[in-house]
Amino acid sequence: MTTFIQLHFLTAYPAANLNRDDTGAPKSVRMGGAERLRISSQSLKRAWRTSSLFKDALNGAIGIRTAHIGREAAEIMQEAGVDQKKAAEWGAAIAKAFGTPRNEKGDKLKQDPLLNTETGQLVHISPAERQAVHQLAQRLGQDKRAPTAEELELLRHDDMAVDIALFGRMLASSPDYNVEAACQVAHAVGVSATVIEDDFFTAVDDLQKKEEAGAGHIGELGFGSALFYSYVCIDRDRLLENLNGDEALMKRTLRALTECALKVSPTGKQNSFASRAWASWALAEKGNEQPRSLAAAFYQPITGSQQLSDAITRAEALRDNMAKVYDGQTLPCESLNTVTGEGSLTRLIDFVSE
Amino acid sequence: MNQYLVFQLQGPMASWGEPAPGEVRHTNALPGRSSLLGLLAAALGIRRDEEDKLALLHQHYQFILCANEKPSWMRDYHTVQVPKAVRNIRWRTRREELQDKALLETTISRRDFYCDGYWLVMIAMTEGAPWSLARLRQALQFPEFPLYLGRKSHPLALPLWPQIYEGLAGDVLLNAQEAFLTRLSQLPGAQRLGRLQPVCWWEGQHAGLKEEIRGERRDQPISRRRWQFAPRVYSQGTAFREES
Repeated sequence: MTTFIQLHFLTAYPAANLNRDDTGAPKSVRMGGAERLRISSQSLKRAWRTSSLFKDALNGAIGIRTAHIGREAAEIMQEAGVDQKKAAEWGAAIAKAFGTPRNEKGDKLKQDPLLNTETGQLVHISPAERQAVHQLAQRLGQDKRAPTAEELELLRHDDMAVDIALFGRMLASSPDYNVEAACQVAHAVGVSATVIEDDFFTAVDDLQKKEEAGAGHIGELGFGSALFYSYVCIDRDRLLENLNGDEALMKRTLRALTECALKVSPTGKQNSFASRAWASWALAEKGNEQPRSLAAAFYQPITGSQQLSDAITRAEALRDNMAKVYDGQTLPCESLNTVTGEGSLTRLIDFVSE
Repeated sequence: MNQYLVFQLQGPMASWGEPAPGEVRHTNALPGRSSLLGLLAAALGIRRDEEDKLALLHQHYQFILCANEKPSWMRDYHTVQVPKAVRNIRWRTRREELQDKALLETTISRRDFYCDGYWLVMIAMTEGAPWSLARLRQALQFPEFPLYLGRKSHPLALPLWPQIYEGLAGDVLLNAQEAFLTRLSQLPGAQRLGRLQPVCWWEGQHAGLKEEIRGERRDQPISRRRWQFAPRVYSQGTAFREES
């Protein structure tokens, strides 16, 4: 049976325009007959996967930053008996799989014949990638031959795994490279009815003459504020399969995803609104039962001044009620609640990834 | 006497794809046959490339469908960034693909979806069906792959609560509707979702359902690999008999 990890969370955004429609207004959805703000799943996923938090957690944690990956390969080949000129050439080809190799000539190159196996910038190399480079260099050293295009291609296979393993890939042109996403991300929806407001703004030209009173520029910008309910469902078995059975990498991926989901905001209009926010409440569940979101807790829009605590109460009550009414199981879970101060991010992440 | 497996479908957003390639992706008001078969395949753990198993699944089940009264549809405006095709470069990650801003191009698609939709689905087996209704029920309760309402970003918001009924289709429909509504009424705010239109749609012949209109829809999957569908005939009629 498949293990599903479900993540529910509530994030409060002040005035913001995180994700726009074709008119530039924040995206919306009708739920329970009332207009709500919406953040598309695509927007959320993009914010997470392009965040430095995601990248650092998955690469930086135990990967290395180096310009020397091609040099390492060249040295291994030389030790195996490849002459210096060829080792330099093949090492540079390997370096090119990760970045742009240096292109030095003359004295500098005479002093250090392997100089052009280095990349101009530091590149992130994961342990698996470094290992793959070492293995390839040993093989080339034994066979005394240049790397093939396919071998160079395969070098970055490990790096491919993480975000594509989570969010999938569909290539209509080459379906063999398709990867079924292990992670399902719902559109985030406001728990209350929201009116989208227009900000009429003016910009004043600092250099304009006093007699030319008035604005240099006027414009309008749609915005809105809401407490968003978000839902993520991860098929743990599929994630492990997509990562070629690498348990350790899967756990790191789960940790990074959970942290990103709770801390990283879509970047839309951040310069105008600085609306970054962390989740105020989160619930993680784990089990084999048919996954379902808790969006039904908010079909009746929340009104009143206790939005956050009302939303938490409703979500938790719905979870219990649904299990009771539909003969379900009570799944193992872990939560964090910033209203009562219960739970912690560390415990939640540990639970998700264990 | 016939056996039926009945379950509900609900989520804040749902999209039942129409065969409309191009910039606008429309949604039908009802899940298509291919959508429902896809849901069952996912629950059973049949992969997209297992053509033989899919072919069996596609042959042996009939659906009877009811929809709720007041869904509404909306349009999502969606941009996709892709780098221009550059020879000899294959991006390993989406992150890497997005790094060179100079190469990025944006394409736009408009995607329709339903809000506040609720559907009651009945399944009947035909002779020689490879998976029993009890097996399907178990698969829907403990699916192998995640289930969704037409798009992966449209998850289910209620348990499917699959139940097996025996009887005439018309009676089963009445009994099932009552049972599902009773459960919904115990979830504050959700009960009005489950009020059904007095119409239903079905395939094949079922005792207690009287055809009033016959229609055709091209959603019988032929080949998933080639993405081909054949037309199939459906019946439409009044679902709930007037009390005499």
